[in-house]
Amino acid sequence: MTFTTLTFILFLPLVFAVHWLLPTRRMQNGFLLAASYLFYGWWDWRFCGLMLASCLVDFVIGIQLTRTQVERSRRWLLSMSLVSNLGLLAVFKYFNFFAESFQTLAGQFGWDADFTTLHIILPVGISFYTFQTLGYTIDVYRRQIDACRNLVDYLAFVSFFPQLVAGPIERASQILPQFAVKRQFNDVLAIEGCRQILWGFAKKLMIADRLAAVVDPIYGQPELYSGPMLILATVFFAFQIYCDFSAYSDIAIGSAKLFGIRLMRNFAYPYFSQSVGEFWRRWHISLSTWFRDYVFIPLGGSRCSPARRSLNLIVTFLISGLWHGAAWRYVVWGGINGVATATPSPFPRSTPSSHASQDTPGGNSLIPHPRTLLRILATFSVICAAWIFFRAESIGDALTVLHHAGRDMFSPSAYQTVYDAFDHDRFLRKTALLLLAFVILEWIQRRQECPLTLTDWPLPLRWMAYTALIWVTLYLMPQTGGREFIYFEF
Amino acid sequence: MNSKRTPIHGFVLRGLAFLSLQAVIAAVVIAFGSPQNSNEYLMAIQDKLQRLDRCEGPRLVLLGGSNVAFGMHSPVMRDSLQMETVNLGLHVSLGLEFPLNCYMQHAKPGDVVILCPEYHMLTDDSHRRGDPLTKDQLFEQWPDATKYMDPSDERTWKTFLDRNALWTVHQWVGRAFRNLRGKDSSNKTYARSGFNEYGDMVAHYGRSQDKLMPIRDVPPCTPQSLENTLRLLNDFHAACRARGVDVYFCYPPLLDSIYQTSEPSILELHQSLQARITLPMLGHPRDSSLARECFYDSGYHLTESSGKSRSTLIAAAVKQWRSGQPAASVAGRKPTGTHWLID
Repeated sequence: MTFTTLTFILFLPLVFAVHWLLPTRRMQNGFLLAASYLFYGWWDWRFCGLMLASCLVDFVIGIQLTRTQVERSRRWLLSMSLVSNLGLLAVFKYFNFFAESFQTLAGQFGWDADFTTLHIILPVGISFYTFQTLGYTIDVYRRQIDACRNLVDYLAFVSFFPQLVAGPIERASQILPQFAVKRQFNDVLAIEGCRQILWGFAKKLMIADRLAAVVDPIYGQPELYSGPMLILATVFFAFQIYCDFSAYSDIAIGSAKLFGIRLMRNFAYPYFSQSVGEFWRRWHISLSTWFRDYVFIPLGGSRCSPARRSLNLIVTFLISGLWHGAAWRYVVWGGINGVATATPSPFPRSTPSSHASQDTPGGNSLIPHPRTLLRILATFSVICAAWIFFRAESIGDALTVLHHAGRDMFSPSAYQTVYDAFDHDRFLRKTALLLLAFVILEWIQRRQECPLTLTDWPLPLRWMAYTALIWVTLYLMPQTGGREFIYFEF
Repeated sequence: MNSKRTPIHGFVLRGLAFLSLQAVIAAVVIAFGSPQNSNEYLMAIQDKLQRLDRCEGPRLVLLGGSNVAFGMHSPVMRDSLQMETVNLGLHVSLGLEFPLNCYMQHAKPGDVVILCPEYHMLTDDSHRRGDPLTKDQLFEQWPDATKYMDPSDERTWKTFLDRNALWTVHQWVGRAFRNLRGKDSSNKTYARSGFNEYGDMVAHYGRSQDKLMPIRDVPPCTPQSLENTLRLLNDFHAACRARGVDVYFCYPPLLDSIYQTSEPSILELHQSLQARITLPMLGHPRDSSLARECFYDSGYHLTESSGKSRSTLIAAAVKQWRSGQPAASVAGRKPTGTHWLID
C-alpha cells in the first residue's frame, strides 16, 4: 500500500481507531501486526511469507544468542543470521547483477560463461527490513540489548507498517521497548504526527512528483539535451529524491506518532549542509548511522591513521551504494560520496557540527553569511555530481550528462535552451516556483523538525494554513497514477 | 457514563471539526467540478461517436491518434469520396485498441475506414494498449468509455483506490477552480470545443505554428510486439470484412528529422507490415516524412494547409484503389512513391 493513495488515507484512521479502542497492549500489538501484514500484502501477499520467514529466523537466533554464553556458538549463530539476511538480499536483489557482471568479466577473457538470470520480483522494502532484523541480531550478539521473547512484539517491531517499506531503519533498542509497554494516547504527539503527515503528502505530491515529470523525460534521453538542461534536470532530481524520500519518512514518523510510537528523525535539512560529511549526518540518518555502527566502526572507524580512516569511509560508502541498487552506477555514486567525505573540505568550518541532526543547519541567522552560502553551494554541487550516477539509467548515460555539461559550459546557445524551456513550458515554470518557495520555507523553518510547525500561530490561522496546503496540493499535483516512492525500489 | 474528556476524545473532536471544514470545501468542489458538459479534450470522443451513430452511411471513418484529428480534413475527403465523414482520431495515448474498439461497436456495412495509427502505436506494446493514466483520465470523465477498453485492463475498486482516487479528486478540484474563476477554455486548442462537427481538430487553423512538443524516436519493434500488432490489425480487418466494411491503412505524417533518426525502425516495420498484413496499404512511410513548416505543435500534428493537402492525396489514393478494385486485398501493394504532401 502506497502512502499517497486514498487506500492509505482510509486505512490509517481505521487502524488508528481500532488500535485505541483495544484495551490491552497485547491486543494492540497483535492488531498492529495484522494491519502491518495487510499493508505489506496489499502489493503482493506472497511478500508476507518471505518477511515472516526472515523475522522468524532472527527471532529464534536472538533467543539462542541470549541462552548460550559460548562465544563460538554465539559467533556461529550470528553467522547464520548474516547468511540468511544477506542471502535473502543476494538472491532477490543481487543475483542477476552478479551473474551478469561475472558474465561480462568472463567475456573479457574470452570465456563464454552462460549464466541463467532469474526472473524474480524484488520484494518491496526487503533492504529495509533485512537491515532492521540484522541490526537486532547484531545488537543482541553484542549484548547491547536483550533478545525479545514475545513473538508478537518482535514481529510488530519489524513489520510496523509506517516504517516497514522505506524506513527509517529503526534500532531494536529504540522501538522494542515502546512495543513492550502499554502505550498512552498523547494528543500533542498525535497532532504533531498529523502535521508531519500533511507535510509529507504535500512534499511528495506537489514537489517530488512534479519534479519527476520534468526529470524523467530528460534523463530518459540525455543525449538529446544540452548541458545546462541536464544540469537543471540534475538539480531538480536532487530535490525530487529529497522531497520524495523525506516525504515518506515524514508520513512514516507522523503515522507512528498517532500510535504513540516515536521513530527516529531521518532527514535534517541536508541541502543546507556545509560539507559532504555533514550532508551524510543529515541525509537518511537511520541508514547512515546503521552503516556507521555496523560497517564503518567494525572496519576500524576513525580511531586509526587518516589513510585507514579514509579507506574505511570509502569502503562503507561503496557498500552503501550497492545497498541502494544492484548496478555499478550506484557503486560509483557511493564511491564519489566516499571520496568526497574522506577529502578535507577546502573551506573548513571553524566549529564542525558533530550533532548535525539536532543543530540548526547553515547557522542561526536568517540571511546566511556569504562564506556559509558558498560552502552550502559547493557541497550541493558535489552531491549533485554524485546524483547524476544515481539517476542515470546507466554509467554511459551518466557520462553523457557529464560530457554535455562540460561541452556546453561556455556555449550561450545551450543556455538559450533552458530559457526556451521556461518560456515555453508553464508546468516547468510553476514547478520551479514551487521548488523555490519550498526551499525558502525550509530555510526559514529549519530550526523545527517539521517546517509545518506553526505552534505560535493562532488556531484559526493554523487551520487556514493547513486547509490551504491540502487543497493547493490537490490542485497542483500532477497526474501520476499513484507514483511509488523512489526508495521502494531499494 | 464517564463524562470526563480524555485526550483522545479531544483529539477526535478537533479532528472532526477540521474535517467538517474540509467537507464544506469538498461540497463546493463537487458542486463546481463535475465533469458533466466539460470542455476537456478527451470528452470530444462522445461527440465523435454521436456523429458516427447519426450518419446514415455509407460512412468514411478516419481512425488513429491525434495525427488523424489534426491532419485529416473531413470536408475535403467527403467531397472527394462522396461519403459522410467521421474523424475518430483523438489521442495517441489512448492506444490503438481503443479507437478500433470504438469503431467496431458502431460499424455498418458499406463503411470505408482509413486507419492511420502513429508509429509508436505499432512498434510498442504499451503504446498499442494505451497509457493507463490517459485512459483513466477519460474513464474519470466518461465512465462509459470502459466498454471500448480492453477487458483485461481491469478497473476495480482496488485499482481506483490505489491509482486514481486522489488524482480524480485533483481533476474535480481543477475543474471547480477553473469554473469558479470563470476561465474561458473555449479558445484553447486542446479542448472539446476545438473540434468541428466532423471531429477534425480545427482550433489551430489560422494560428501561427507553435513550438514542437518533443516526440521520442520510433523504437525498433520487438518480435513479440510486432506479432501483437500484426494480429491486431489483421483481426480488425477480418472483423471489418465480415461486416462488409473496407479498411485501408496509411502511415502518419512525421517530422522529417524524427523520420531520419527513426528510419531503420520504420522501414523494418514497413517491410513486416507489407509482407504480413492483409490490409491494403496506401503509400510508403517516406512519403509521409514532412518538413517542419507542415507541422503545428508536434511532429505528428499538421497545420491546416498541410492537413488539407494530405487529405486530398489520401482521398485520391483511396479513390484510385477503389476504382481499381484489386481481386484480393492481401498486402495490397499499390504503386508507392507518390509524394502526398508537396505544399
